[in-house]
Amino acid sequence: MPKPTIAMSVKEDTMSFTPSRRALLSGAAAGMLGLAACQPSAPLGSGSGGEGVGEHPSLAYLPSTQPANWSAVIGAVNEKMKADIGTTLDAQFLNWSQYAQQVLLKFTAAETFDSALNARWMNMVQLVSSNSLADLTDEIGKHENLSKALAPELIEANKWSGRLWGIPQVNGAARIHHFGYRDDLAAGELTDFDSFLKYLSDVKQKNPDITPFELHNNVGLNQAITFSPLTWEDPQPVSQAFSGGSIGVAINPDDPTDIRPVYESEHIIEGIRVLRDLYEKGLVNKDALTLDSATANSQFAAGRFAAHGVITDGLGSQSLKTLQAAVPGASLANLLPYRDGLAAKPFQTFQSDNFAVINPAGDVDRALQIQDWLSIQENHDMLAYGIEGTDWTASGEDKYEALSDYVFPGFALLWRIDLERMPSTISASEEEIFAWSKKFENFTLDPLATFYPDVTPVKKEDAELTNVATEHLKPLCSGAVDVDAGLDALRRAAEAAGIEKVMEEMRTQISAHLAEQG
Amino acid sequence: MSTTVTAPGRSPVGTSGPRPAARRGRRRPEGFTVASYIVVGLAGLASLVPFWMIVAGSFTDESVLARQGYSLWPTQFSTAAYEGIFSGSAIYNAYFASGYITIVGTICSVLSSVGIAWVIARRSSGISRPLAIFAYIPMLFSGGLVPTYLLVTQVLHLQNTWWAVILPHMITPFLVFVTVAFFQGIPEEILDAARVDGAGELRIFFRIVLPLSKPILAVLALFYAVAYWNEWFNALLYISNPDFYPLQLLLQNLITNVSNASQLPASASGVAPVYQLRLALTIVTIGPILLAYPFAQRYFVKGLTLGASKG
Repeated sequence: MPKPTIAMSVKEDTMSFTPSRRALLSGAAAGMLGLAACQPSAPLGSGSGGEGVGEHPSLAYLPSTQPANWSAVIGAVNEKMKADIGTTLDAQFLNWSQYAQQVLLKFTAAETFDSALNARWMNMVQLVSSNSLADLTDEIGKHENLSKALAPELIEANKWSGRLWGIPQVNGAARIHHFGYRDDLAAGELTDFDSFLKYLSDVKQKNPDITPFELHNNVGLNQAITFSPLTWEDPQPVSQAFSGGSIGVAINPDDPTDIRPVYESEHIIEGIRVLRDLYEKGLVNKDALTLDSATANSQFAAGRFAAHGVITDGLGSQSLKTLQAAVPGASLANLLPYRDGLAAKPFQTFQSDNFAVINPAGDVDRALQIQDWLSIQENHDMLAYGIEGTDWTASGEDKYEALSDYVFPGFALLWRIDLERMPSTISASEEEIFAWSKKFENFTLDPLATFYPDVTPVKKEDAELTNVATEHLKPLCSGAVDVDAGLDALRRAAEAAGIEKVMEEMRTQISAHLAEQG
Repeated sequence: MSTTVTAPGRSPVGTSGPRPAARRGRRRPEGFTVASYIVVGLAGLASLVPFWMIVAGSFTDESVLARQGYSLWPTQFSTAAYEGIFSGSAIYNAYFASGYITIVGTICSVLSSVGIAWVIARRSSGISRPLAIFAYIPMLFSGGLVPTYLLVTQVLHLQNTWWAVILPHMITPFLVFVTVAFFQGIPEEILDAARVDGAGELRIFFRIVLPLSKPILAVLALFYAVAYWNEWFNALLYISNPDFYPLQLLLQNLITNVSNASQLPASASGVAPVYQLRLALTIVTIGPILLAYPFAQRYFVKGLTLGASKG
């Protein structure tokens, strides 16, 4: 008789588990309702900024997270903005790693917001082609402060086919890759390529615990260019690529239709040879391909490295405070990779890496009004650096000293070349280079300054070349593989991936652009 | 039915006199057992070492970590990363948010899953098969990111609520079918016996089926709880108010912020500790959910042995 036996065992189990169906149901319901009551109510789209009474604030999407002391700062900003122009700002911060995807989603879903950070390296090309961005070509001139803060050269260089689709966010006219190094480890002033290479050797000899130069997995061609002896004589060669991580083409400045793959450029090949030599001598770290930039920066700030690559954004000395805590007496300096130093006039496109774009589904006039308001020094400083006396204090005419942990992603909304203050910790040489990089007249206009290649016809080949660059070009630029064998493998892989077709398309687009320019 | 196990050279249990305790105490362990203990012990230790290094690293000063790498003991003790994480109320709000999402989400998910699974498992005409197909389709296709986003934000208007995180994960089809398989293993005779005793369908489900299904309920609860605890992407999409961020999103933001800090000017505190912060975040994140496993463990074991001793 199996049934009674089974039934008995079930009954025992039942008694030990659930008292009754009613108890289970009511318990679950009570628990859910109780917990549901725990979430405070939140107005939609709220949370990161002040709201004007009786009206919606201007919603702007920015990368990063809310800065420290944000509520006090945005409160003060909105109070003044409301009094000055009758509106307020609601800045919402989106996770940095997913920012591009989220903004694209918000545009696709036709959400109502006013502005956001976007760029060619995100999805700006796609947004422009789908008419998702407000055309600002004729709008800038209508706003006095904004048009005064944006140089005509900047506006012209950042037009796509004659139209302006966003407000360029730059704090300098040019972005020049160069060297940042521990000045306290140098025997004297570094003035040329040879003295820099000797500096690296001396560091290795005198400080075995310190790796002379830091490379990480986010550097590639730029490192090869800055380390090329030819660059010192003849400032940076002109190059173009369909997308950031792909293999581009080197361009003859005298005839821009004369192009060849970057791995055939003498500047780059010579730079790769120097990097290989440094690698074999132990003058650069051997984990560059797996070392991410954040970790590398942390290691530089801890004193593991003597020198690294920097760019003219005024942030090269940002690790000084932490470095000095780890290595008392440490100091930093910068070195341009040009024989003529600040007198060199390297080619520059003046194209901005980032744009504040405006959503036509939002309030375009209000977004521009805010951009105009932020182009006034006092207003700009309040949002960029926080409340004066609490978050920062002026140091001289054009510097500031941070007093709190308030850090705002200014490059996403309010970077203006003449309004940006430098951190008080900036080294003398970096200050000099940064000031030099702010002036358009210090550079030679790239013959393809307003050229923006369209990847659509060669999208597949470009994607394959991106993989080739990761597999072959990056190891070459970190010195990890033999130069001749590596270049040979790179060439074969690039040819298999369709470099010829990509070059032909690039040549066609350049010719069309030049014809259009007259 | 009972079985008797006898060891070679020994009398069957219950047929000989009392066995002296001293003799049992002197019994020498078999060589294989000793070897097994050593191998398993070493394997266990090898598993613990990386975890311990994470703990030790999270308490090691950033500059030492950056220069010397990981060690088994903090050579320069520092709690800077934990101080950074636990400064302000954000982390406590995030713990509460994650707790809410995990508890409410798990309750809702388990109830929904066993409900739908039971109907499918009953093989009732007209409902079980369509429901099975309805549950099976999402295993193959999803609605896609944009339609789901539009549904949550413009139809359900769930932005800035924790339900925006819970509802999209409410039912996992795979777990529904695992539960269906378990329910189909319950002998029909039990249910027939209950019907003979006058039980209705709901009573059978709540008083007979669910108590018999503790192992699968534990499995479901654990899987759902871990999924809800680790959930951050839906929160990223739908929650913009930092007061409502769950723990994983808060920590994700923290780490990406530190990773991208080189693009921003340094604050008054200088450069944030990247190494130490990553390790400390690992500890902070896994702590609470790790506690769920011991509670569920006994049900896993029971699930494996259920019915083994009954003939």
